[in-house]
Amino acid sequence: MNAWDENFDVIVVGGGHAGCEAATAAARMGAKAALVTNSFATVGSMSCNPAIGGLGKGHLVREIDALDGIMARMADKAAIHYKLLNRSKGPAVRGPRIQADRKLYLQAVQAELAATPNLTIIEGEAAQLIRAGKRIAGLELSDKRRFGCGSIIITTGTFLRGVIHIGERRIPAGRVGEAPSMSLAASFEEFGFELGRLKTGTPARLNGSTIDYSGLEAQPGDSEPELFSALTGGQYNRQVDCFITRTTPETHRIINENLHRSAMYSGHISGRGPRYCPSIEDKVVRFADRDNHQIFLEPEGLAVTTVYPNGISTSLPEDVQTAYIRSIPGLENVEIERFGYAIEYDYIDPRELRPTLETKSVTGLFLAGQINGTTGYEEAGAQGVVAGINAALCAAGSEQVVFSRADSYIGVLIDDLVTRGVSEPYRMFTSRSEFRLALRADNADRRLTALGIGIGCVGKIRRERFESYSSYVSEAMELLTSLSVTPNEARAAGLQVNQDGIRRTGFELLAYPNLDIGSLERLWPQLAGISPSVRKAVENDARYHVYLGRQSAEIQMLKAEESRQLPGMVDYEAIPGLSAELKARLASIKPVSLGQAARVEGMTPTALAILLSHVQKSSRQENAA
Amino acid sequence: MADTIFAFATGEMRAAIAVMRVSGPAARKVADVVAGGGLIPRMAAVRKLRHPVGGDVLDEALAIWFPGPASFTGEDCLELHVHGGGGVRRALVSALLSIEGCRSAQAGEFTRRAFLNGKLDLVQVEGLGDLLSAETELQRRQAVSNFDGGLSRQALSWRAMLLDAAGLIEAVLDFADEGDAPDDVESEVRRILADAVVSMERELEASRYGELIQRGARVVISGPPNAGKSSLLNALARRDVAIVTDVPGTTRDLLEVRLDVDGLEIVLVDTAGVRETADPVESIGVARALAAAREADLVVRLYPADGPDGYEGFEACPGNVLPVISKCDLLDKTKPKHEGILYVSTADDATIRRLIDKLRDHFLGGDRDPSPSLLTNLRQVDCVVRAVRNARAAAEQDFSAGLEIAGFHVRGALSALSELAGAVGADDVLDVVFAKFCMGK
Repeated sequence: MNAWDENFDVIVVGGGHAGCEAATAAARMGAKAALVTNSFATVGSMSCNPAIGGLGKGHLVREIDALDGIMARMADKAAIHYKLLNRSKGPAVRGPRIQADRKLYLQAVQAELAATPNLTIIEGEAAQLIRAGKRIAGLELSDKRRFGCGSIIITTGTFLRGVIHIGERRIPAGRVGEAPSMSLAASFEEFGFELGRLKTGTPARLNGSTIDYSGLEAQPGDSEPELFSALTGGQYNRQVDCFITRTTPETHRIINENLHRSAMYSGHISGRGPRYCPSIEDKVVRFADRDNHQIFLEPEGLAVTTVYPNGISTSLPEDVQTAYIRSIPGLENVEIERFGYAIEYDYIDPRELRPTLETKSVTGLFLAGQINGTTGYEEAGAQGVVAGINAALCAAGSEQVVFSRADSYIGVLIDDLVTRGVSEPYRMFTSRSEFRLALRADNADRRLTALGIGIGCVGKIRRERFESYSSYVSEAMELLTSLSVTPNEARAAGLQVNQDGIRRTGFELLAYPNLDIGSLERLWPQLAGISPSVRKAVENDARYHVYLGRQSAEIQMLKAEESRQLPGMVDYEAIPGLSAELKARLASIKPVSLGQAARVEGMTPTALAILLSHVQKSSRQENAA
Repeated sequence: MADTIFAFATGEMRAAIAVMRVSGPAARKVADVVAGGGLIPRMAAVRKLRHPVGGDVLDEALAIWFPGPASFTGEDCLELHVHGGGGVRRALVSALLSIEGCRSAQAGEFTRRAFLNGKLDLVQVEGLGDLLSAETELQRRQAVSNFDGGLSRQALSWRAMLLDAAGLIEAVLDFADEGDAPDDVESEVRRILADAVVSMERELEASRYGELIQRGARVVISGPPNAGKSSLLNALARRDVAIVTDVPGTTRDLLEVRLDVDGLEIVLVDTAGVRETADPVESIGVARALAAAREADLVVRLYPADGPDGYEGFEACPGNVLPVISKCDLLDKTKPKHEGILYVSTADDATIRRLIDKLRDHFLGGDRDPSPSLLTNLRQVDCVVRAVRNARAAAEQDFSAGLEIAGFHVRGALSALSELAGAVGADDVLDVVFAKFCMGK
């Protein structure tokens, strides 16, 4: 029975953004890894909009890059339109974003996987997880091939019992034209996991050569592109414009008259959809006083004419989609290449997971991506890296790593998921981080690459580049801290600072929003040698320095509490003084650290102290016994 | 660096001795500045405690210094055993709050630190759970009774205002690329912040605890000329501070005497007798007396026993006026006494002591008239003060270049209010954004 066709350290099921990051991360860690996919030709697909990054999301991509993941490099290879969001606002809330050529992206990812040492691609349908007691042992495919493994990562996205809705039609599918995964869902149920139902949607795809752009507003990309990866030397492709159009009162009339035919409004869909990505039906109903909504026309590639109309995802039937789309300026004669749809799928309550993304109940079983209730390529990829690292560590019998909220959006993402669960598909926003000023897109490498080097997931090229870059940053920082002036001297050099007689270092002067290293060169010509990327890092650090200092006590406390492990088996019912709701919540979340327990909804300082004293007491009794 | 936390280990009950515990990096500063320094580790010493601002003596206390890590929490700790009166306790809290990095501890916070530093085995762990669960029950009851109360309604309304401000800011920051995001929220956010600050400051001003502890309670002695105001003041102060004669209208100016009643500073103000007068100097005194009475926390209104029987309507006195019949030794002993009015004679020390008791009850008593302020303890005042500070800092930002910093401060304000109105999570802010705007592509 236990004759395996082949043995791997880590098997990854699924070739989406989570799967590709997970497989390459495990391979970078030195594990013998396999990626199981229905079809290698679809690996690296962008199933929804052809864009990567944004606010919070761009931060995640930079963090993936800092851990030597692939998404940022792939994005640069496929980018045909760069835009740094919030360019005019503070550095903490600037988010890099690109439009990708869908085909270039897919090709880049497939080439990357094919060239990754230690990684085997297996085409086939994952059918059943095989356990040995409480530990994962292997995977059986529907063609009865069996592979043994140390750990396994499931990244099946929307494929778990996926159902596509177009009007009244329902088509079992994980993506258009691809079969859903039914047997794997049964495996999860058999293991006793809590499954829930979520939904998301996508708009129609348009034939760009039938769009009349003449009256539409063009949105050019940035003239100085903000490249995604620290390893990318320059822009790969020519840049193209996006265009903006708007729905009309006529569009809204058509939608209103046909609401009863929308899958979502006719009660066919039970899963909850994301509020930040509403369907056009939702927008028209919920904001009835608006007579137009903005639509971005995003090109899907350089060599294809397909256009993605961002802002009108829908589950209306085809004839209604055609009618309302043609009521939009510029789209009067548009040909629709593929109709929009809503998709409903199973997800697993992420509170079943440890912060390492390993399931609490089955050792060696990891979940990453949309299966955990998230949405977005970036959120999926970020989980993929973490699952890949930890699955490799798990297979090697080593201690796994947890990313802290204080260090990364990756930490925020996973902590939110495993501590709070989800009620709608989870998307990252910068406002989800209480340490937003510290977690910037520009310092992701300084936050995480050293950590990644310690973990072993960072390759030689990035390590060497990072080491020289961070030593330049420290040198510049030291130089700026060693130089100082009085307000009078600063004024003499034409710099506006408070005339309060207080001597300030160069670093302190940079806290003034109107000063940068360029302006300080008037005082200290020796600063001229600092390179642009180092300048930016130091200037941004200086800008937030005083606020970061104020948060350092909070961060210190958070980290101390996170490093305090709680035992896995706590009988919460037996603890006197906790409310019944809190007991129930603790029992379902089973916090692994004091820090996580402190963030459980409804936790009070007193309840936490009671929990601690109880845990301490039981561990004493155990020691005594 | 971590905050330094403090709390009375002896709880809120009144007792002869109260034990204040201070833990954290600033404990040493408290030992030096408040307790005069020079403490030998783990040796009890008698010390005069002084307020860091102004240097006033607060109490004579027993001080014990426990340098970390060999302490209850593993941090530097200081224990101060002070006299248990409400005034001393409040003055000590006010002194500690004035030291940078010091704040009052949340429930269970000492235990949490002890646990973090591997010190929990020093605690009587077995008893702790029970103690804390009793405490929780008490807090739960307090929370329930507070929930219907004015404070929680008010705190929830501040929270809602600040959440709106946070939502508007985040709509701009987090949805910059999503078509229907608002372009300009500055005027609305500024208006909300200004309204919130005004409302919170109004409550702080009304808070007797906040004010009283900082400046003492102002008690104005008023009454018609020759009612015995100055004699009473002298009797209270036990020293001659006002010129006392039998000629009506002798006191032409305000005289102040500071009394220490159970640690609360009571500033007694003697005023010119209120009457119509043609004497220009005296009329200035009368005007000042009326003004002083308006600003007083309490007016002691004297009705001289030998004067016209003007005290008949004393029951109608408002809550901040204490009616007193003075010179009661001159009363006709055969007449029945009025109930509910204090009879005082400077010739009878017992009556003076009764008046002092009455003053103490008025300011420090547990179940006097409900405070005009909703903020009834220092912890609450502390929360609102921090919220105001943060809301002001947010409003000071340049919204075009530093909107994320304004957001940082608004978050700080919300977190300061969390103890009164509940914690605010990222989802609460996003709820506001999605309710107000049609977001998403």
